[in-house]
Amino acid sequence: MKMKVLVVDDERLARRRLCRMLDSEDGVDMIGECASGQAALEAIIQRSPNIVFLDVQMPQIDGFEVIRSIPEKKTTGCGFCYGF
Amino acid sequence: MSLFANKTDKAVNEPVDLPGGIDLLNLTGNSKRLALFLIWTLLGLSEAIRLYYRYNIVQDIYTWGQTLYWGLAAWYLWGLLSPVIAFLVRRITFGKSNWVRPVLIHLAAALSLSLVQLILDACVVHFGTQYIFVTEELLDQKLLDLIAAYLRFMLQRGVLSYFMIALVIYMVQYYRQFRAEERRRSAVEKDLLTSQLETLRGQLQPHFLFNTLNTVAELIHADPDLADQVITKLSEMLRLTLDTGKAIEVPLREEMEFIDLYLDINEIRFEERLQVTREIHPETLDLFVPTLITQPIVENSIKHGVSSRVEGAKIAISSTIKDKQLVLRISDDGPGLGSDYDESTPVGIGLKNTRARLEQLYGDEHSFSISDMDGGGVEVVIVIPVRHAGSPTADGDDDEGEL
Repeated sequence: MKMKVLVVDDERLARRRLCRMLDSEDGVDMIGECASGQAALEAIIQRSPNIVFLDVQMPQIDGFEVIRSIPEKKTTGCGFCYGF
Repeated sequence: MSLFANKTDKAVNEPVDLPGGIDLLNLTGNSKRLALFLIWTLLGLSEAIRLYYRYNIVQDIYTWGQTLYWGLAAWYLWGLLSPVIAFLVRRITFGKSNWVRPVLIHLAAALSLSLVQLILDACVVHFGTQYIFVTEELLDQKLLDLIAAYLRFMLQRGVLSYFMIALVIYMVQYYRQFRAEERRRSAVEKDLLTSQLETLRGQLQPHFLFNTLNTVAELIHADPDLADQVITKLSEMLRLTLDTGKAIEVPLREEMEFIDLYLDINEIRFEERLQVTREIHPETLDLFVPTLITQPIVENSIKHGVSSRVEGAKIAISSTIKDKQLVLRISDDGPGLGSDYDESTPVGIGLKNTRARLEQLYGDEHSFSISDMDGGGVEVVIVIPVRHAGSPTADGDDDEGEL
């Protein structure tokens, strides 16, 4: 079974880069990309990704806020894309 | 980050004697000996002139040859004895509480050296002109009185000469200590400035490089031409860093060249979310500013104006001359400082280095303000003295070459 992956970053170029890298991996199913914390939360609830690559610094809802807001029943792993 | 490694110039922090800068007090070897010889000769000449006109008022008693011989002989002898005085000056130091003893030692030395000088002078004068110099007033007295008065008179002059020489040596010594201290202090200050600049470069380069290379990695696939542009701009920044080396201040032209590249790259990275306007007055381009002074401020504007808002931010940079001062203004239309802003917040810490560098370089002559603007956003205003290329302290080497 392929891993369902979601990428979240407000910087389009950085997001595209990560998506491109992950896309080329076997065993990865890119289920979407989001440009904001708000969109990320909606995607997590609706599409139940296995792994979320999450940017920390984003407008309005940042990465930490997204993690805090994920409903408890969701078993999603979140990894921070940390670029200083 | 070896990529951005600065030019390592070993000589940078060492005091360099400017060509043509002659410090008479630091002369060495033959030139020092020549200078001293000239000084003693000048003193001898002035004494000769004094003698000639003092005793030839009514009629010509002495020839120029005679007075020159006496004058030069007297002062060359003092010149020969002066190392002894210099030795004593180096050994005897005046303290706040003990000045009696040093003065007494000097007085004793003055008397004995004067006596030595007087005897030598008498020998030289007698040997050379067969004539021991006596004044007209002295000639009116009896022989013993005459000798005593002559001795007293000459010793008074000798002691005066001694103290004059000692005073000059003390002054030279004091001046040297002062200069050495000044040099040391300016070296320390320069080190501090350099280290602050290094810190700044160290902070800038790794994360800027990281972000830029990530942008390039994506653009290579999505827009190769734009990727090419970013790499070209990045290499241009690298070249500027190498050119600037360890300069503490650079002309605004160079600073803007660097910051433009920095902003261009960021504009590409953030796409339409970052817009920059520049209003650089042409007259300000040749004025000196501290290296990388605007970078942390611009970086803050990007960080808080762009990264924290979906719609991004507009950044405006301007420079003008007002009341003979250079005014740099950097503003954004971001969320503002917020009510809890102070020196301990991330923004405050980032700007602390900037503040310290300005303080170090310009002291009371600068102002630095950061404030919320009425229409929203933050405005940073830096006011520093107008200084053109070639002005003193522009490269920190102004402490060389006087006298």
